[in-house]
Amino acid sequence: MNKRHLVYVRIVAISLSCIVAVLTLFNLLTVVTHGIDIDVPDGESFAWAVDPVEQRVLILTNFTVRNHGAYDIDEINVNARLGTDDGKTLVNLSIEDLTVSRGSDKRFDVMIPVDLNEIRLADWFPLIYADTTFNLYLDIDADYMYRLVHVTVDETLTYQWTAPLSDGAYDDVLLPGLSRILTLAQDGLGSYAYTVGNAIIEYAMTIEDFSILTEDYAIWVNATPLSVEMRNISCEISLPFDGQGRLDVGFVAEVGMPGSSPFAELKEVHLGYVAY
Amino acid sequence: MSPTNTSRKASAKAIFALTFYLVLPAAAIYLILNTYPELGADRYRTMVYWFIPLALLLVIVSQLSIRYEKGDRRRLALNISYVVITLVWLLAFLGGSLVVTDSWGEYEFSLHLWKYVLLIVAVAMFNILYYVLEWLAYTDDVTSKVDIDYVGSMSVIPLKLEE
Repeated sequence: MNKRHLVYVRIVAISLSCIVAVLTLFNLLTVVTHGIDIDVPDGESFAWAVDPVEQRVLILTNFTVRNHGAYDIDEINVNARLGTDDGKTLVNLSIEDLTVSRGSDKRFDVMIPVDLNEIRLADWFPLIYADTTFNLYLDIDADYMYRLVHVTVDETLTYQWTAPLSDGAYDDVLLPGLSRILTLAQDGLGSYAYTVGNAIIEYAMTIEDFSILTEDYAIWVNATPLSVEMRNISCEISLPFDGQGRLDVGFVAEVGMPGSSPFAELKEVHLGYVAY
Repeated sequence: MSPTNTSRKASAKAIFALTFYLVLPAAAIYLILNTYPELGADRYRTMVYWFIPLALLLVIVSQLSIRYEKGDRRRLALNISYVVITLVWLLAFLGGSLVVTDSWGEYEFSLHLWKYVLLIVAVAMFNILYYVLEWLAYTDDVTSKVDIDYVGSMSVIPLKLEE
């Protein structure tokens, strides 16, 4: 290589160094001045709606990405899992390939449909009567600065849930017990469930009729004998929902102690929504 | 070989190093800490603790390198040292890690910078390649000049003539 060619190499080297210096400077300023920010939804940002035609609950929320940095944010992927504090997953959400251009704010409205005919009832049923804490496991990743910088957010957000039927004495025994029957019917009788299920089913075997009727909600339970050892438990719960309608939940189960072993079998489950 | 005549002046390279590796970052950090007092100052103090000595070292090395002509091994060694110190300076500026963790209020986020650092390392390697090519291109000139100097120094030795 002669000296003239060396000049060209020098020009390229200086140019590349300058490009890297500019990238560094703008990247640093963007990050430390919080030029990029994400507003994740808080507890008040969630709204509920019921689609009576499709028989589904719609969970509505939103998040906003502010990109006042010098480069576009590409390939924003959001994976969220809403679960209860005992680890049960209620909703999974996955959004991919979002883009926020530089110098812009972008709000993303999220609608999560929950099909009432496909949900795992044993997980959702306790939400009717028991207060709990929701955990939103949020996993966001995105590319920045021409994909040279990868941004990740891994957070767990907590929300308090106040159950519609959380203020009555009936919730101490009856509803958890019936819920447990559902759980047993869906999961089978494990070693731990055997002890609990035994007590619950013995309890259920003593129920004849039970009802609570108020202005807001109604609960009916009816038990009929199938045999000496088996009973048919029928339960209907009706409660106000989302301020615009009524949610009806019902199930029929056969419970008993055949051969001194607890047995529960869910025969029928139905969910319904009636608009006022 | 003696230093060049330009050694007493501040070189453009040294001024560049002083500006971009010391003055501008220090000013930026000063402004950031004054504009955003809610940011933790400890992290920036640690950055300053490392990058200021390294920046001063870069200025010294860049100034020293022009004392020697192109093709001189010492200039090559100083230039390569300059590139290596630049990489260490960058690592200090990033907080000593390829993953930078910061927070937006109560939410933490991480910046994974390995691709970015890879680009910088590639540019650094290109600069080292240039310095090696420069040394190869000019090394013959330096050798020739040493020979001339040697012959010249021989010529001033007074000859003792026999009477």
